Formats: sequence, structure tokens, C-alpha cells
Amino acid sequence: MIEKNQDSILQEETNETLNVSLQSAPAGAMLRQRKARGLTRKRSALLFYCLMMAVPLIQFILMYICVNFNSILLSFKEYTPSGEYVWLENPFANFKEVFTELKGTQFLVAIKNSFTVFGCTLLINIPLSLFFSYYIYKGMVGNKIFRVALYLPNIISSIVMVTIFYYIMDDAIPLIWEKLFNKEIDPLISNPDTAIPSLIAFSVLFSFGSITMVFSSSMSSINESVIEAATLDGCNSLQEFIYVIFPLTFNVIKLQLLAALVGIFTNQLNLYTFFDINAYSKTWTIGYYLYRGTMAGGPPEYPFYATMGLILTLIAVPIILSIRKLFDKFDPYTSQGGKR
Amino acid sequence: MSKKMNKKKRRLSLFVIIGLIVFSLFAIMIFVPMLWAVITSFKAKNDFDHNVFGLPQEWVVTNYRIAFKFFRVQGRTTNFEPVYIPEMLLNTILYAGVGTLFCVLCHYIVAYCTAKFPYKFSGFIYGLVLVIMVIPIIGDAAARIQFVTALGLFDNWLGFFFQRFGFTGMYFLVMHETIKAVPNSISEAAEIDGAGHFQIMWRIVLPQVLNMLGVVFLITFMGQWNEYQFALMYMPSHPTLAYGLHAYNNSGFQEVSRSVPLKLTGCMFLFIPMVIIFIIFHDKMMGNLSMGGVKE
Repeated sequence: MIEKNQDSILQEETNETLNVSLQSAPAGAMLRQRKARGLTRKRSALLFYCLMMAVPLIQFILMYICVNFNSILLSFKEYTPSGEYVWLENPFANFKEVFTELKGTQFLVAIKNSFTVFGCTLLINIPLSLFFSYYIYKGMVGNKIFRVALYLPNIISSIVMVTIFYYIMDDAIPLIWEKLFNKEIDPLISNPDTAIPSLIAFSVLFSFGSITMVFSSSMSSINESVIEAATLDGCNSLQEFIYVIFPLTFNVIKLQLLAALVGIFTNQLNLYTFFDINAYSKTWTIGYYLYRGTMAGGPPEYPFYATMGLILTLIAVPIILSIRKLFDKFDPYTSQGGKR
Repeated sequence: MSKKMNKKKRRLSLFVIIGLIVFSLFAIMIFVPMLWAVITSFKAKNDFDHNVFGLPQEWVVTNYRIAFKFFRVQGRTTNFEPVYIPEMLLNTILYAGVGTLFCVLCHYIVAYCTAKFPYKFSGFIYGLVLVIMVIPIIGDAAARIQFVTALGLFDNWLGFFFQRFGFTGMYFLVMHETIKAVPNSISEAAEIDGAGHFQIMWRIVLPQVLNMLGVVFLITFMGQWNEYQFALMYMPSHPTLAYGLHAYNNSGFQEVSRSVPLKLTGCMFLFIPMVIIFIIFHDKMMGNLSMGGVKE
């Protein structure tokens, strides 16, 4: 209201000023003057815009476009003992090497583990997160303390959580097991056979807090009248969730599913944090494979990993875009005529 | 009507009972290990070996003194000089504090320009950010390190801040929408009063969106405080506390590698400040989280 009043007062003042000027000056000169003023204002706006955008744009060009272009260039180069990158005699040698590696045992283990993590996210994380977020959204008993429990792992460094979890799994749980069942078991993370399920359990436990927070925020933005109408129509909680909440939050669910899909190629499963470059070969994921290779291999290995990144991007992009399209097609809200 | 509905909502149904059980289990799995870590950090090594779960027989503060002494990064820096906690803390402040400031600043500048100046290029930038968010770039670290090194931006603060001065991310979209929602009449009134574009941007619009910027800053700051892989990769000679903890956990010091309480004490250097920040700002942070971003 105050803003509106201020606006109208300002508008009146401006009009008055213009009227005075128009009365005291010839119409043609005044028009020219106004045009010139408008042009100057436009020019100064453009100048300001260019000045402000210059550095961010240079940063974007260098750090996104040039880096990715460099990825392409590096895939046709090799590292020489003198410390330079030179063009390969056989330009596709790196590609050949990468394709051989992609068929290798270690990479197949990484693919298997990455898909297992994705499966767990899809079958455990997302459904449980939806359940939890609906619980919080409905303001059920203890939702405030649960919100803190969900949020806390996100603000604590993964390296702290990893260290705590490592000793819980290796020292505390075997001891509890022994006390409860009178039977000794090996430490869970230090044992290569139990390491991968333990690491997945850690990943599931500490990642679904953030997903739940996102879902519950999205649910809280739903108009209350829609829920009230559903309740008046006799919807119970389950029906309300299936027919109202799910379609209205599908957009956010879709984004989380796509993020999980991208995670197949990038998720390190905290392996570097747990083991540095010494993780058991049985536990590797694609994300760890790439990060470890870059860190441990150093400059001589950059062309190889740049090529691998390029190939994986070329594989991932069409998959992600197709699945995104599929989600759009089967969006329960838009398919019933709703508009996002 | 609404009260009746709320009562109905709060009735103990099967849904609530299942939720309560599952949530309680989850909360136990989150809080108990953290509490266990804090208590263990006050145990002597011998005490821990015989008493993994109980309270310390004697509360030992010397763990913190010993951890402080061994909490260092050695052999990873270019001059091979050890780096200790005070320098790491300074690096963390620069890394998380100033780095986040640059990041938020860049997001604000680009979001402001694209939201308030309806040029075609603004639309292009907005679309570009959306496209970048959809297309995943995998394994660009090798090319980035090589490129950053070639530009002379590797392992120095100028290079780091420049890398942080980016705008492609979720927060750009959040800021863009928030800035767009600020009425143009306010800037027009300021313009009539003689304010230039720069003044409008910093003195008129900025205060309107300061709350949102504060939350973005806080969330990004906490993320940066905890992050160590970027520092390890691009700033090896400037270890942060998180990077230091990674080095501390993997260090060959016998005193540390054989003692669980000492390792957990090392974690407390990162854990405690974050918990304090969370206690102070939890309402603001949790209340403003929306869609992975923030809401006003």
C-alpha cells in the first residue's frame, strides 16, 4: 500500500516536472531532449549490463566451455616425459585404450556397483524419502526432531560421518554382535566381502535426509485448499498421497530420479574418503574409478581419463535426456491436463 | 473446519505408528553414532579398548591436545612444509568464507542482470543454465586440472576465487526468481531520484533479497567448510580443515593410527563448529530450504 502511494506520488511529481518543462520549451526541442535522454539511459543500461556480465561470462567461457573443449583436445593427445601434451600419431589411440578398459574386469565391477547403488536409491531411498516427507508434511508426532535428524548429516562433513561410521561398523557392531549372539564377526568395512553392502547402507542412511527435505518442502508448497477439497471428498491419507500429493510433486521426484541416474556415473560411494586411493577393487564405482585415476595417475594419465569422461558423457547424455522425456510423457499431473 | 481436520490428521493411525517406528530408528542411527563419537573423543586409548560403549572412566581432555599436535598436512604441499591447524583454519576461512562470498556475488550479479534487463541475451543465459543443469559432464577433472594449470590458476588463491566466481547452478534460478519478484517501481523511483544502475543494484534491490542471499551464503558456506576433494585436487598446498582431517586419518603417525579416540577427536575440529552454527541458525536454514534451494 505504502509502495503504491509512493509510486503514485512519484508519478505525479514526474508528470508535473514534465508539464512544466513542456510549457516552457518548444515541443520539438523537448521531444528531442527526451529521446536523447532515453537513448542515454538505454546506452548506460547496456554499458552497465556488459560491465557486470563480463567477468562471470569470461569465467563461464574459460571454466566450462574451454575446459570441456580441452577434454576433447586431451583425448587426442599424450603426455611426454618432458611434461608436454603432444598430438598422438594415432589420433584414436586413447579411445581404443578406453574401450579396452571399459571391457576390463575392474570397470565391470565398477559398473555393477554403480548400478547396485542406483537400484538402492530407486527402491529404498526414494520410496522411504517420500514416506518420511509425507509424515513431516502432515506434521505428525515428533516431526520437528525428525527434521533435525534428517538435516544434521547434511551439515556435517562427509569425512567426519565416514570416520564415525567406519569405527561404528568395524569396532562397535562386531562387539554388539558378539554380546547379543555370542558369535564373533569380522569388522564390516575392513572386510572386502562385507564392505560394499556396508558402504551402500552408509550411503542410503546419510543421503536420504536431503532428498526427504526437498520432497517435504515441495509438498508444503501445495495449496491447502486442494488438500481440504480432497478430504471433503472422502480421501484417506493413502488416497490423498496417491491422487493429490504424488502428481503435484512429481516434478521434484522426477528431478531426484534423474539425479540418481546421473549418480551412476559420478557417485563415489565415499570410497575416496574411506580408503583414499586404496579401496578394495571389489568396491569400486565409476565415480571412484574416475576420481582415483585422476588423483593417483597424475598428468600422464589425464588424456586417458579425459577420453573416458568424454565417452561416458556421450553415453550418459542421451540416456538422461530420453528418460527425462519419458518422465515428462508419463507425468501424472500433465497427462491429466495439468500445466507445470 | 481446519481444527477438525488437524485433529483427524493427528490421530494415531497405522501410518503414524509405522512412521514413528521407522523415524525413531533413523533418528537413533543418526544421533547415537554422533553422541558416541563425542563421548569417545574424551576416552583414553586403554579405556576405549576395554569399554567401547560406556561413558569414559576418566574424561580425558589430553586427546584434544595430542590431536591438535598431529593434525597436520605434510608432504602434500609444493614446498613440503607441514601445515598446522591455525594455517588450515585461515585457509578454511578463505576457502569457505571468501570463496562462498565470490560464488554468491557472481550468482547475484548474473541473476540481477538477467532478471532486470530484458535483453535477448538474458533469456539466452537463463536457458543456458537450465541446459547445463540437464546435461551431465562426467570426468572433466583431468581436463580441468590441465587447463587450470596452463592458465596459472592452479594451487593459488586467485585461481581458486576465479573458479568459484561461477553462476551455473540451482541458486542462480532461485535468485533469478526472487530478484524478478522485486517490483520494478522501486528501482524506477530510485532512478527518478537520481540513482544510477549500480546504486539501484547494490542499495535498492540487494537489501530486498538479502535474506535469501544470507541463506544461500550459509548453506554454501557449510558445504564448502565440509568439502575437501576440490581443495585436494586444485589447492594441494593450501589445505583446509576438512582436507587436514583426510590427511590426519590417513597419516602414518602411530599415536593416531592406533587410537580410535584420537581419530574421533580429530573429527571434532570440524564437527563442533558446524553443530554450533546449526544450533544458532537452524530455524533460518531449515525453514528456508525449498527444492534444494531456498524460499523467502
